[in-house]
Amino acid sequence: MKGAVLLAWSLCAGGLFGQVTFERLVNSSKEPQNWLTYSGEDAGRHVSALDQINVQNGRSLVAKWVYQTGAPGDGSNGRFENTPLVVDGILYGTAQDGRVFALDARTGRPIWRYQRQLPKDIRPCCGRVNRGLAILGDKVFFGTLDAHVMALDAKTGHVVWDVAAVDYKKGYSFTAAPLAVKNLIIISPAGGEYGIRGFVDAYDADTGQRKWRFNTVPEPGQPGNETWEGDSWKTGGAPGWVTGAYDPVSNQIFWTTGNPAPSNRGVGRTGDNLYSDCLLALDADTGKLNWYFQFTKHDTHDWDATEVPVMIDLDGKHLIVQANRNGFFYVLDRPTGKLLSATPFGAVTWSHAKDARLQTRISSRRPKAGGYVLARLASPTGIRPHLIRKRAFSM
Amino acid sequence: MNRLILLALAATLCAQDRNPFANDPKAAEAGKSHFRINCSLCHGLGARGGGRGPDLTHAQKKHGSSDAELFRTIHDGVPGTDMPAAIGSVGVEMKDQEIWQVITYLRSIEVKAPPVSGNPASGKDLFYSVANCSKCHMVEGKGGRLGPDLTDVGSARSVESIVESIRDPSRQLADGYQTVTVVTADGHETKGFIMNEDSFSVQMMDTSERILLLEKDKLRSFKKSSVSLMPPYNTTVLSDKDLQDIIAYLLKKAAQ
Repeated sequence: MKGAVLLAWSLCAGGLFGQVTFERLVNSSKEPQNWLTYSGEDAGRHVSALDQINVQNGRSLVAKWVYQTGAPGDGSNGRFENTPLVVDGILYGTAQDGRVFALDARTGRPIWRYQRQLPKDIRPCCGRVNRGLAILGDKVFFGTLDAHVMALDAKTGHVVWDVAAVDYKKGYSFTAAPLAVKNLIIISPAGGEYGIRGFVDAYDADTGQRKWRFNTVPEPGQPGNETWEGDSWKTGGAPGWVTGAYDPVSNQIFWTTGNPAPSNRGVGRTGDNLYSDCLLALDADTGKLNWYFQFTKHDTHDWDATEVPVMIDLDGKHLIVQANRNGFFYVLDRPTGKLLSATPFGAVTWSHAKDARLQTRISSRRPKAGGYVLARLASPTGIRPHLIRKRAFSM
Repeated sequence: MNRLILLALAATLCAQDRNPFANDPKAAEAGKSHFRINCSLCHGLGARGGGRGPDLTHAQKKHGSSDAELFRTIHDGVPGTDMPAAIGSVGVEMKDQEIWQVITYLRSIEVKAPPVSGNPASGKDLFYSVANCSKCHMVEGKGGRLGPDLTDVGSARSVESIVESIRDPSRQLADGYQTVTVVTADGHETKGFIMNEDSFSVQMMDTSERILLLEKDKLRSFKKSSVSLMPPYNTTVLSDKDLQDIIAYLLKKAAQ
């Protein structure tokens, strides 16, 4: 009987495979047995509705299987920062230095593996990491440390397309998992510490052809360029190294950006430095900027705004919220970007809630204690005040 | 004085672009040995293509044919392909001198590319329609999954070996395409190829391209076979002319 069940399950798994439609992605919370996107479900909460593992039995968990993604001496470098996808019994992940794998989720046995040969002279900003994949149709998508965007056949791992998004020698790399929206693959680079000029790109999922690019640092003639001093926009940073979210209600892609470059030094880039440390609302079909909200103007403390934005529908309102590195918890109206509240979630020393609401420029202010921010987590567990360098809170 | 230093430096740099062992039979012999140890796993013995790496006996190399370009390809690897750098990562740890000896060896075995008689456009039509190749094989992401991806096969294998695989597919199964037939506890028979297996489980793709994740002790039978899932394309099924056209298409694709 068990065998029959197993077979039925296996055939079911096979039968469903290849049908990861966009409809499934936007309704992913309806299938909690799977983890179809980087954020796990459409609202971006990174929360599973499954309750088999809970606070009562968590302590009794034991390893079922182990899959080693890389080993000392085999040439693998970097850290493992992957959020795997699980699709109908198959686990897809990325690992050090351009490794991608598909595993039997029950046994950990590999179904296929892919390894990209990387150039020796890559300069990945801030770690040789990769955070994961997007899946759509019968392909998985990821970005590489040498700034390529790639599509692999989800069943075999064969390369379907491979596109150089930008010249990695200029400090660009991809570490974030892409986001699949309709038939587009959305991705944004890392490299804020190396003076890149950030962007959010959209590629045709079938062909790899680039459909649009939104530059996160505007050039002369574009709105926002006046927030940069001289030519500083050319190397203005504002990378998008964490996966964004898609809102079917307003057909907008939300993407967050990191620090302006140079990171901790504002001299030479006087101004607000748009669109660094921002939440961007882009039209999903064209990449046109609908609205933006800048959490930290003229950032000199590396307060990337790259914490994943979470969408909440409450009392008929479509909201988007983010616990930002600058110590404030923000609530905005999703369709318009209107700021509804900014509340400190710790003892923040650099600004007041009122300032944050009014988006007062705070470039002249410095955190107390010589560049440190003191944040007290409001927690019923009575956690002591945290002293976290440069950031008030880390997601 | 400074000019002298610059001249000396320039001479050194130029020397790196030129093979110090050019046409030296002893160096070619040493290079043959290095090739066998470090390169033949992918490029095949005699550099005739090993299924993974291209046939290197052609004078025209995909990533540059000059001595300097060959040196760079071997020394740095080819990003985005399986070709590793000589040093580091999965590197084969070849020294510069050994790389030059390998290049000397490759020069000694270069042959003129045989003229291709087939018509690649007609070969493409055959591949995707009448001959049904694309039902099981992909080229550049288009096609089936039951057989190897053929995007680069035109450079990775010799024409003779491609002909053999088409006319007599079971003579040598492609790596990773072992045929298997399983019968489940309820008597359901499924045929496909093994993607991976261990003592307890098997991950296979069936002929409908479904991935099945099976535990062996739950199966009534589990039989591997050395008979390819691909039918033999003999001359009654595929004429010599059509075969040449398909090969011309694959060679053209691999060269792009």
